[in-house]
Amino acid sequence: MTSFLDTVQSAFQSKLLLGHDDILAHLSDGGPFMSVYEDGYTLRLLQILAEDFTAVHSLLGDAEFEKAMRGYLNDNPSRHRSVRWLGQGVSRWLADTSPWRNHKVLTDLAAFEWALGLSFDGPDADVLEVSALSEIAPTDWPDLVFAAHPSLHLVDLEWNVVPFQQAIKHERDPEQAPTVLAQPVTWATWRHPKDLSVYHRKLEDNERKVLAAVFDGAPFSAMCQMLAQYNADNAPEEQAAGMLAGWVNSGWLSKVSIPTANT
Amino acid sequence: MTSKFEFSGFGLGLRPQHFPAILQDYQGRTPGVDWFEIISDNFINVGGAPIRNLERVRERYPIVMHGVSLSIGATDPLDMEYLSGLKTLIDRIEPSLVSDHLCWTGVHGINLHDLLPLPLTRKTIEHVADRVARVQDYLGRQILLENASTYVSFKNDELPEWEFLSEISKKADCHILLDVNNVYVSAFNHEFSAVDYLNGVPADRIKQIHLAGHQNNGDHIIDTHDAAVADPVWDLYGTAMQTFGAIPTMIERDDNIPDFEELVDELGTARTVCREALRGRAA
Repeated sequence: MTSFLDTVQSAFQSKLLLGHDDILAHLSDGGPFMSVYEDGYTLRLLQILAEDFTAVHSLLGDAEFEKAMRGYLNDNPSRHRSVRWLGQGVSRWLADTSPWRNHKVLTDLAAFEWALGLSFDGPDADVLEVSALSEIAPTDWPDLVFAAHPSLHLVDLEWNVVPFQQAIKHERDPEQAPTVLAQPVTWATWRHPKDLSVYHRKLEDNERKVLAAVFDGAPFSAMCQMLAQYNADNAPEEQAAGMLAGWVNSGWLSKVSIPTANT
Repeated sequence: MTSKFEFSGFGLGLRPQHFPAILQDYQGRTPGVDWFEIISDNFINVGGAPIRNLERVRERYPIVMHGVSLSIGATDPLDMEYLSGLKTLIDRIEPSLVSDHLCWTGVHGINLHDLLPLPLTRKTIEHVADRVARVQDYLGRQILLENASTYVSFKNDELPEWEFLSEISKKADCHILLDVNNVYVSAFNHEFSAVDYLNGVPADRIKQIHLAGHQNNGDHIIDTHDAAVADPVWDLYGTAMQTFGAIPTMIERDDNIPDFEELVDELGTARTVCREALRGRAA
């Protein structure tokens, strides 16, 4: 049986999400200040989204950003305890929803901003140190597999949104609006293990492919094979070791292991 | 976390923009602030700089944890995933107190991220008290419930808010975080006596006081946390201290956040008002 509390809370929520007036019959004097809750709900969440997507906000301007984010909130009421995750679906929603889906630059910009946020406060985890690698016996190296640190995020972009986002972040006037790229590129965002600052850099195509394979479970030997195909001029082991050193120094790897035969 | 401090005196809400000011002299504590309150939800399942800065503050100060998403009054089941994250944070930070609001924040799996009002009925008391008891069992400690500012009331209300809060605290054996600004705001909006409210809550269950600024719109007041504490709220705070005696008190500021020093100065006003009230109490 539906309780009075159920009825009231469902009706109250319907007022805030859908504008339904059923709750008013339950309120003293018809709830003359109910608008405080209605206005507060939307304004508070719009403010959160504007803080999480400052570059998208800047690119769209106040009116269009609010129009877009009202649409997002209508389609995606928050299902998380923390408002931190409110904007989790913004990039995907912009990609799927007319008229925004006709402007892929918005999707890319939102994805990049969200990735930076994830790198900033994503979960802590062990960080693989160079010293741990130096202790591994040479005979074990071919079988080594690596796990990514949770602060590392890879974003595929079709638009050159990074200079625009950086200008907005550092409160500079962008030199130009983002432009479409000849080829999609992958950017990495991550948190440095020591100073905890967030960094980003573009991945070359070969590094992107190797990184994807490694995080898919490919061992060091497979990494070497891939690099031998891409660049036959240099020893693949040296190329792989150099690439690995860069990842380790940046804190991209969380751990190394040698799978046992039965796993 | 090994450092322990006595929890008493006057605190501030810990806000990220104040980390540099708070941590600039790593050897010492900032004069004028005895403890900090964090918004628990901002640190659950979070890593990186936010949690490291929090732990640096915790090395020097007592911390209390204050949540906004427990949704203790909702008819949805308790969110055990949230409670698990809360418990992990409690184990990590070892706070002096853990609190949330006497409200609900959404149903049917949705979170509206607002502190929404409850019908003040006997059935609601049973519902909330049962959930508070289960939360306390799970966390292994008592929690504090804070009175929220409200802008509507229900036709079916059966008792005043102070009796509602008192009954829940007694039934669930939980403590109270009394927000004096919220008492003032709700008293204005619903035309009841703020002093009756103070006289109607059990003093021995009040373990923390909140103060904050509000926005007076003439026919109603909104709890905005974006301004200095208003004069009538200082007066009511003085009455509260005369009524209850000294209770750890803090100022919340969530918007238009000023320099840290300005908030420390405002906290000085709280010390003065409290001291004078206690002097009056002794006399």
